[in-house]
Amino acid sequence: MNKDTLAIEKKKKNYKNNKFKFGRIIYYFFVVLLLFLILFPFVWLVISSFKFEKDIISWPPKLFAENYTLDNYIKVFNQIPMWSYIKNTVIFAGGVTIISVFLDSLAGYALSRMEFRGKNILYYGVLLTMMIPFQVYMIPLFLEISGMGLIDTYTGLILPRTTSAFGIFMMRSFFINLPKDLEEAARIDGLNEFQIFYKIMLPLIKPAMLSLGMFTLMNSWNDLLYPLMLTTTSDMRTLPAGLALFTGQHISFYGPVMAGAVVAMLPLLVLYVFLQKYFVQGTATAGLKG
Amino acid sequence: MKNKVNSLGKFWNKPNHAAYLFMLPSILILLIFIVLPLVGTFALSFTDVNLFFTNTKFVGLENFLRFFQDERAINALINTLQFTLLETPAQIILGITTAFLLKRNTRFNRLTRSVYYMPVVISFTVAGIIWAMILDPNIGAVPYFLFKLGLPIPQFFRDPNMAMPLVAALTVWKNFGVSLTISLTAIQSIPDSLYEAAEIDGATKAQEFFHITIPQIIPTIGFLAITNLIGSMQVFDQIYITTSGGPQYATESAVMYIYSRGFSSPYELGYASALSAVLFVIIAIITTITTIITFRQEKKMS
Amino acid sequence: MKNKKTNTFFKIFTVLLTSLFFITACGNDKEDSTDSDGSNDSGQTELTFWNGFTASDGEILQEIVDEFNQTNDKGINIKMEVMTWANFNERLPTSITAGSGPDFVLMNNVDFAQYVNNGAVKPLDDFWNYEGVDQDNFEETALELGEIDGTQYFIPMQVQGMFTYWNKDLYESAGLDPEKAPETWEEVIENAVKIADPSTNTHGFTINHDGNAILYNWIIQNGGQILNEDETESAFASDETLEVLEKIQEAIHENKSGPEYISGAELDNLLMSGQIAMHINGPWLNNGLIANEINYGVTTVPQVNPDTPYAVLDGVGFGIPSSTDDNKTEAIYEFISYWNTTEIGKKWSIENGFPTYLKSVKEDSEIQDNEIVSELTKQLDFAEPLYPGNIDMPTINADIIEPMLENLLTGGDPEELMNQADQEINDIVK
Repeated sequence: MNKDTLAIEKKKKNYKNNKFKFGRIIYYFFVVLLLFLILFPFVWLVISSFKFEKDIISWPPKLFAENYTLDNYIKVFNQIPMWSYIKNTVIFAGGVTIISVFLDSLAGYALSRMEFRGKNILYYGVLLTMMIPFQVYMIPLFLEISGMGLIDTYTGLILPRTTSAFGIFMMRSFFINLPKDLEEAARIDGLNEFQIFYKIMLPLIKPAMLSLGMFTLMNSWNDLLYPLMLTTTSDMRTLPAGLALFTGQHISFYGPVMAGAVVAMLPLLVLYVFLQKYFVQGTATAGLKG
Repeated sequence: MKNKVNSLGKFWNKPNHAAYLFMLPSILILLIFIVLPLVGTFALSFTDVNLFFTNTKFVGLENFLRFFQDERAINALINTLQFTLLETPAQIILGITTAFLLKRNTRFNRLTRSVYYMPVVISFTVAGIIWAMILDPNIGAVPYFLFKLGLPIPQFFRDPNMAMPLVAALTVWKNFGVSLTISLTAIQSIPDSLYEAAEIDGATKAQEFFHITIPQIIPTIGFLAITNLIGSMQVFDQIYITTSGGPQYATESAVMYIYSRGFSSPYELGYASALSAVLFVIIAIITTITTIITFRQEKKMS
Repeated sequence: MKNKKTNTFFKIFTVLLTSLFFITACGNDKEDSTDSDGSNDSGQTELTFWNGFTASDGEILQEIVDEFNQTNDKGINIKMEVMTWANFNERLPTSITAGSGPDFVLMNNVDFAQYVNNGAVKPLDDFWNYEGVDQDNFEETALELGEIDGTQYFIPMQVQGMFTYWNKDLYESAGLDPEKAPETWEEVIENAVKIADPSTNTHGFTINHDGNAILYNWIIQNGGQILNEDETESAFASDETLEVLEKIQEAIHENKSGPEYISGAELDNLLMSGQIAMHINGPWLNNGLIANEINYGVTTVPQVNPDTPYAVLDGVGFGIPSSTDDNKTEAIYEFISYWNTTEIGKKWSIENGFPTYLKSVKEDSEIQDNEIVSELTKQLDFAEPLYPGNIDMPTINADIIEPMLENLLTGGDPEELMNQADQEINDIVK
C-alpha cells in the first residue's frame, strides 16, 4: 500500500515536470468521448421507450418529446406473455449457469491438476468444440432433441448447454494457479478425490465460479437463435426470442420494440450494477494463461 | 461383494483414474450435443437432402465441387475475412489502449471502466435495434447531426461500402469491454518498477506503452487474438439483426450464407452442410496458425 | 473480510438460482403430463396454430381466436404462436419432419407450394363438404391462390395486393392537389421528382430493394412476363420489361425521387415519419399511419393504363401440416369455417383496413361505407394470382429478382441485369 502511494506521488511529480498537460487533455477528450458513445444509445433507447409513436419516428429526431407515456410498456406486457418469457429466461439461464459452472469446474480441475492418459487429446478436443458455430449443427441437434422427446421442455433447453469449452478452459486457468501441494496434504488426511475437489478446492475457487456463473448467465440470457430453435411454443420462449417477434418485416409500431428491449436488458444490467466485480472478473481471468 | 465395491472405490480414487470420472459429464455432453450433431452435419454434406428430409440421395462430393463455383459462397468467405480483419485488431487495440489509459484504480477510472463494459451485458438484438435506429438516414440522430452541420447524409447500413465496417464497429462497440478487462488484469500485473525506471530515463507515455506495456502482455494479446478470431469467423447475430446480409450481399458472412441456404427456399440443407464443413476446416486452420504464431512470440519474449 | 463478502454473495446467488430452478422444474413436469395428442377425457381438443402476424393485425387475430375459444361449443381450444414470417419458414419444415409441428398454420401463397411439393401439407378439398361452408361465397381468384392441379391446399384467410399510400400534406406543400390519388406510374414518378427535396430530407417515391411485388405489377401491366405460359421457361427478358427497368432507374437513380437502397420495413418508417410522399405496400400500414397521425390517402397500385387495370393478387391461407393427427381435422375445419363467416370477415376487414374476398362481406353495407376497405376491395375485381403453386417463385424472388433490383436501383445497366436475371431464372425453372 505504502509503496503504491509512493509510486503515485512520484508520478504526480513527473506529470508536472513533463509536458503532460497536453497529454491529459487528449486523455480526457478520448475517454469522455468514448463514454458518450457508450451511454448515448442507452439513453436514447430508454427515453424512446416512453415516447408516443409519432415522436419516436420523426424528422428531425428529438431526444426529448413533449409528452411521455407508459403505453409501450403496458402494451408489451398485455400483448405478449412477458412474465412467462422472464420466467423461462430465468430458468433457462439459471439452470444452465448452475449446472455448467459445476461441470466445468469438475472438468477444468481434472485438466489442470491431474495427470492421466489422453489428457492433451481431451484438452484439445474440448477446445476444438469452441470453433464450431452453432448454426452449423443446429438442425441435427434439433432432430436429436426432438427424437429424445425433449422439445419444449426445460430439460431439452438446458441439457445441451450444461457444459462449455470456454467454461472448462476458464476454470482450468483458475485451478492451475492454486498452490501445488494442496491435494497431497488432503490425501494424507484421508480424503478421497471427490472430497478433495468438493471440500478443499471448491471453496477456494468460489469467486471464480461466481465469475464464470455471471459470464454463462449473461450468454444464456442473451442467446437468441438457440432458444428460438429448440422451442416451438411461446410458453417456452425466452426474452430475446420473444423480442425478436417484434422485429418482423412489418414493424408497425416501434414503441413496444423499444420497451421490450429495455425489459430484456434491464435484469442483467441491474445484476451487473450490483455484482459488477464478478462480471468483470469472469472476463478478466479468462485471459490468464495456465 | 463389499470387497468388490471397495476395490472399485480404490481403483477410481487414484487421481489418474478419478480424472476420467471428473471429465465424464462434460465430455458426454459435448459428445452428445455438439460432436454427434456435427457428425450428422458432415454426413448430410454428402447428400442432396432438403429441410423437409424428402428425397435424400447420396451425391458424393458434388456439394463440395459446387462450392468452388458458387460466387456467393466465395463472396461470403471474403466478407467474413474482411469482418475479421476489421473487427479483431480494432477491438484488441481499443481494448488495450483504454486499459492502459485507465489502468490506475482511481474512482473516475473504475467508473469509466464499468461503463465501457456495459454493452457487453446486453444482447446483439438490443444493440442492433438501437444502432439501426440512431443511424437510420431518415429518422436517426447521427444523420441529423451531420445534416445540421451541412454535410451530406451517408446511407450508413444501406451503403455497400459502409455496411461491413459499420457492422464491425458495432461489434467493437459492444465487445471491446471484454478486451479492456482482460488486458487490464495483465497490464496491472506489470511491476511498477519497470515504469519507474523508464520514467527516470525520461520516457514519454507513448514510449512506455510501446516498449513496456505491449511486450509484457504478449500472451494476453495472443489470447485475445485467438478468441476474437474464432468469434469473428462465426459472425452472425449482429448481421442477422442489422443488415441480414445486404446491401448486395456486402455483409453476408459465411454463417449467414449457410443459414440462408439451409433455411430459406429451396432449403438446400445438404449443400448448407457442405458449406459448414468447409467453414469448420477454415476456422480450424486459421486458429491453429494463430496459436502457433502466438506460442512462438511468447517463447521469443521469455 | 473480503472472503466473507464473497461468501455471502455466493450463497445468496446460488440459493436463489437453485430454488428458482427447482420450483419451475417441478412446474414443468406438470405441463409435460398433459396429454400429448391434445385431446383428453372431457372431449376437449387442443390445437396449436402458427402464423407470422407479428404486427398490429396479430393482436386482432388473437382477439378473434380468443373469442372462438370462448364461444365454440365443441370444446376446441386454440393456442396461437406468432413469429416472424422468416422465422416461421425456417422452423416449420424441420418441425413437421420431427413431428413436433403445429396442428395448423397460416401460410403465404408464395411459400406454400414448397410444402405441397414436399408432401408437408395435407389436401383440404373436403373442407368444402364441412357443415356450413359455402364455397360459392369465396371469390374464385382467392381460391386459386391455394390450388395446385385442381386440389385445394390452403383455404383463404386474407387476400392482399399492393396499394399506393400518399401523404396529402407533402402533396399540398409541393403545390399538388392532395385529394387527387396517383393513378399511373407516370404520375407517381412525375409527382415524386417534384416533391423530393434533399434540403429537408424529403422523398417522393422509391421501390424497396425487396419490393419484387411492385416490380411484377408494373412489368405485367406493361405487357411483360416473368415466366412463359406453362412456367417452364423464363419470359423475363423483353422490351416491355426493359422499358420498366429503365424507367425505374431513371426516376430513382438518376432523378433521385427517393432513397436508392432501402428495405420495405425502413420504407414504411419513412411513410410513418412523413418523409416520403408515396409508398407502395400491402394493406397493413393503415393502423400505423393512423397512430402516427399522418394525413394520407390510399388507393390501388399504380397502372400503366387505368382503363385496363391489372394487379397481382397475394394472400394468406390456412394449411394443415402432414404431421397433424387426422382426428383433429374436424376441429381445425370448425375454426376455418368460423373465420370465413360474414361476421368475422367483416371484423377482420374493418379493424385492419384490409380488402375482403368473401362475397357476403363485400355486399355488407358497413363495408361499403368504409372508405378504406371499399377502396382496397375494388382491386379484387381485376387482381389475379401470379403463377399460383409455382415452387420456384420464392427462390426467383429472393435469389434473382431482389439482387437484380438492388443493382438496378444503384445504377447497374438495365439490359445487362435483365438478361442475366433471365438466364438465372432459366437455370432454375428448366
